[in-house]
Amino acid sequence: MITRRDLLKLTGLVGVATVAGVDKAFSMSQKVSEYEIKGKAHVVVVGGGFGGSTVAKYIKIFDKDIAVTIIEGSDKYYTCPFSNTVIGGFKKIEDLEVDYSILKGKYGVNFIKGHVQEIDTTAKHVILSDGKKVKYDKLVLSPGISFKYEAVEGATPQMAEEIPHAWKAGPQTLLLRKQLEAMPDGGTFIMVIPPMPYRCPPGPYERASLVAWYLKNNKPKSKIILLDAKNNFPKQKLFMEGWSALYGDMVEWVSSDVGGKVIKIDPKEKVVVTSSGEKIKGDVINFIPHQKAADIISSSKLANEKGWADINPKTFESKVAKDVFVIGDSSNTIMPKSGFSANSHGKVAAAAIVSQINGKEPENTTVVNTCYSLVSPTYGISVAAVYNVSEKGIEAVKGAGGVSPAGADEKFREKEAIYAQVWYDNIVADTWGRG
Amino acid sequence: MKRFLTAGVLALCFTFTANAVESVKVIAATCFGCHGPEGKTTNKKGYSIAGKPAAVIEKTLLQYKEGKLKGTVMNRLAKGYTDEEIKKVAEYLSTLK
Repeated sequence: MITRRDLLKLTGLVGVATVAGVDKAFSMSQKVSEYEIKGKAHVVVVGGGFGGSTVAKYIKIFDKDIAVTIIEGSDKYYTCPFSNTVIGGFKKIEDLEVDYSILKGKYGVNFIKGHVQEIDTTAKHVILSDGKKVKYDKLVLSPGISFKYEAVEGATPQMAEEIPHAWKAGPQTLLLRKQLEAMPDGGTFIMVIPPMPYRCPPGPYERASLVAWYLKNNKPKSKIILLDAKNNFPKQKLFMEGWSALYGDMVEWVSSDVGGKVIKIDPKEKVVVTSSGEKIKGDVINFIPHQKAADIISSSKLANEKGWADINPKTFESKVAKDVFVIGDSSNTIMPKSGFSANSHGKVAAAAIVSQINGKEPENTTVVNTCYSLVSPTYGISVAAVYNVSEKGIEAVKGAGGVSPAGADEKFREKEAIYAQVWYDNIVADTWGRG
Repeated sequence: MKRFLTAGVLALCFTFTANAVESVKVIAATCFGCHGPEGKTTNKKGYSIAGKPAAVIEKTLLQYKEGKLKGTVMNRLAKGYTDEEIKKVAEYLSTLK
């Protein structure tokens, strides 16, 4: 028989419930208070996106006696996958919204709304921006990306209010949509695309496709110019095949070697300058900045010289800090920075953490990345890969994976567009739980 | 004495790995990304993989791997697994309700 006390113990809420009351007194006297969460061990997860929510859920699935707490700045999360469908105008922002109610209610994951200011890997606690401390036995960081605006002259974080990046879903997604709606027919949409590595490698090209779909149907005299810091891009042949079949010459892709690299921007005049000296004015500019791991990774000295966290591939434990795991976009692996990769990292890390807490050696395993892109609402393409995970590294299995076939018929593309939606619904349910 | 110690160490090693989170659970969980939590799709146009006979799942995956079944993406993914991994994951998925 499970008593109320046992239940509380299992979900680790004893500490939270007790401390929550005490917190007020502490904060009134300006003293630092502490969350004490009980369980066999306490795993703190920073970030409630694809990586963080997956690792939290799967730790509870693998061993429900381990207390897990997600620290996240918002009660709601908007998924980056499928955010281009909102920009294209055939989905609503609400369609991207998820919350933590199932992780809390069904899986017993604790949730603290807050921002982590500092990590003390010696004392093994994190300090929130309100001064409160949260102790951990294992810490998982899944904080996503931050932007390197300084890589392009004239670019600043403040300019995002006028020149959206829309590379973190939410208000930025809506801002870009609004600007497209206000753009005149015959206008120019410019997208500035960063060098690798960045979140969602095929994302800019899916976005270009769905913007083209909107413009073709509403403002057909308009032009899309993609200014790229790269000379090639994922699923390139397939995107180009789709663009020419569906949108004629509306989408112009300019690679780095022919002057696609943007070196300067004037956000007020909405003018970008390329490495070949060309100045291009846009009616709408989508500036996707160069990227690195989220700031908490560098401020905690977990970043390598390129700004990403090096990890032990078998466990995702940081190479520089014991009992600290880094998953998702922030981690440095050969896997593309995608929601699906982050979900896979979460499962590997969950298995490793549960095994370690129980005094066992984590096993080698195999994971996947599968990503769909929509070239139109009814035209889908995909890329997939299988990775062996061991101490040696994360290695793509040769001969497996790859992209959708070129030259496939309409039915095949339509089927993959349907599967893209199936993929979305299922990965979201797998990550944040199904009610 | 030496023999006794070796046996002890072996026994320890056995318990050491036997109770880790088994790799097959992670492999199966990566299937859930497209096929839904616990292998049950949330979108009716998707395909549930939970609770089907192990032999059927194994045969289907092997056919994808060998290119006998076309599919859209499973033919690409199945090539990434050894026959043994396929057998184990099929057995595990068949136990899911």
